[in-house]
Amino acid sequence: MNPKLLSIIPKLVKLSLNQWWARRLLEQYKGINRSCQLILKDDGDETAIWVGVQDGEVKVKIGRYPATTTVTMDVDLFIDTIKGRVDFREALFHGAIEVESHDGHPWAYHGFLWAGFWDLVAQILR
Amino acid sequence: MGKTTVSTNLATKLSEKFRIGFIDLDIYGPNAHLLLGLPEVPAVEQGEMLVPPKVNVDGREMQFMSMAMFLPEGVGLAIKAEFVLDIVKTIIQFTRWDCDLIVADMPPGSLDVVNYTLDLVAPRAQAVLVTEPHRMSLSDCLRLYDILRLKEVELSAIVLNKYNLFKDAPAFEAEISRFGAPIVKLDWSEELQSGLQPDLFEELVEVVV
Repeated sequence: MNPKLLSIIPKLVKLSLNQWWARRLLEQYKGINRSCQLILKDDGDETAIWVGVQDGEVKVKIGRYPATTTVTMDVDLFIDTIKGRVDFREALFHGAIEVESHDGHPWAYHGFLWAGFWDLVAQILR
Repeated sequence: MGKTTVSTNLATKLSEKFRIGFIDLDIYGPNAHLLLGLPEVPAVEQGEMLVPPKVNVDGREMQFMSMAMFLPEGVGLAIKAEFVLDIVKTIIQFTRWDCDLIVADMPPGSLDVVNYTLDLVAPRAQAVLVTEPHRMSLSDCLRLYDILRLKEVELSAIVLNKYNLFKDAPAFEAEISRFGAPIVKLDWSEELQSGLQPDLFEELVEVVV
């Protein structure tokens, strides 16, 4: 785990304690398995975090696992989006965040859903 | 040339009789939402498809998809061209449109998005060509008309926008009548600049439906 991420642990704890977004995710993905491999890059180093909705549960794991999408960004950018300094959608549509699809849907399909999801996260962390 | 004004008013007028979906395909510079408003809820996923949110226009609901829902105000789109086509594909093929007719506001000129969209929707689509009646726009019209023929998309009407502002309009009209499509003249008016005026589009509705 990249030590830079330590600075956002309070934010991540706040996020994990909020059950509202998890309930909303579970409601939306009832009967569907959706997962994201988040890759955070930092000078050749990378931190991989897997987040998914599987069998009616929201799960978070450290490491690389099969996922329906991969979202890759610089670790500093991730920290800035979590801290509310950068708008996720702005970074996405400026090409600073890469979204790959592994389930046959177009890139933009997942990009649109991620944009909506990140708005929720930003709302919780504000 | 007035594509957004024509398409939003046409969709609004059509919504009196049909369930309408509206797509703003001007991916780089969406602005139909300035006339139609933005949905209050985001697009959600249901059964591996996006469900388009609705806007309320003149008391009637219209399904709506636009990059304006995803691109923050004042932010330019700086992604690779193939990703832009992916956005078009998502909005057309991976969105569950539950309506009788879809009206699409196309981007200017004959860019990739136009070609790609026509490939996805032809031959079921009809086109309305919106232009101003002066010589500068004739070559654009000829190119677009050629693309429509190539993609086997029916040209159902030509709208001559701001007809009253150009003294050569009748000559242009005569020239463009060789396309064989009905011509609808639309005069410039103060009211059309300030908001939707769907009742001015009754003639166009009669021609396209």
